[in-house]
Amino acid sequence: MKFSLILGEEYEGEVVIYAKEENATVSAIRAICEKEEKNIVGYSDGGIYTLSPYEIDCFVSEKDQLFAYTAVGKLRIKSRLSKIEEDLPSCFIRINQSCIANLNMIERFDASFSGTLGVIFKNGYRDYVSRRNLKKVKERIGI
Amino acid sequence: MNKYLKEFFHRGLIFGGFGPIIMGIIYAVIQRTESGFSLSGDEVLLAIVSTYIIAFVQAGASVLNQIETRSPLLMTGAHLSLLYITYVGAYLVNSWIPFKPEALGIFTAVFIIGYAVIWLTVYISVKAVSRKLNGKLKG
Repeated sequence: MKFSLILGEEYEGEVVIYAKEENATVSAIRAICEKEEKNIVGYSDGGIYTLSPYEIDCFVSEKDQLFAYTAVGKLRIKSRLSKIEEDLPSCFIRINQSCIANLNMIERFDASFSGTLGVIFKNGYRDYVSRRNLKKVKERIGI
Repeated sequence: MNKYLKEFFHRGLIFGGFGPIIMGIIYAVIQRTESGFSLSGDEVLLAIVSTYIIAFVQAGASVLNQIETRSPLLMTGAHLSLLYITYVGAYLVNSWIPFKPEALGIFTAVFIIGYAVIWLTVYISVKAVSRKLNGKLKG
């Protein structure tokens, strides 16, 4: 199968396949795209929100409850961290035992007092990269 | 058994033996440099046991940095306290430092300075990693 990739700031991100039939390769690409499109439903006192995963800064497990930090605030998610991790697009990565971060929503990294690597998200939320997950984070970002 | 406690013992058992080895090297050096140096059987036994405990705790305590359910600052404090109690206890039991306020004060100062130097080394290294990651994020 021929493969073309056209990159540009103006593109939202769309996969178009020209094929005679849906074979294994096409099905695999479809599965990846559908997985990427899976929306997340979040709850707050103000109502129910349906968000694309790309709009979420990070998922945090706090006292057996899962929350999503977003531009609209902190939303309760009816799932578990380990379960939701399976359905998230590739821009998400586990940064510690209780947080999965959207790499596109990280404002910056910083060294914290305790000697761990701190993460500051675009919405101002702070968390940290555990030593256990540091190697994977470095690899994903490309250092 | 709690997984962290299990890991504590696991690491301690792996590295505990290094304590008596290092102690043996130090005693061998002292024997060659100081005339009339000798130890009784009890002293040797006590030194072996206490240096084993120091190495055991030193290795095991590294698991505290992996406990993510507590704040990293709290865990750093727990790590420092555990090491300090172990070291000061072993030094006093072996009479490597006298049980006097001045001696304990100097020992505490040296211990804290040593810990701070190691902490600073780790901090600088993490800072360098964060700088690299930020460079990639912006790029």
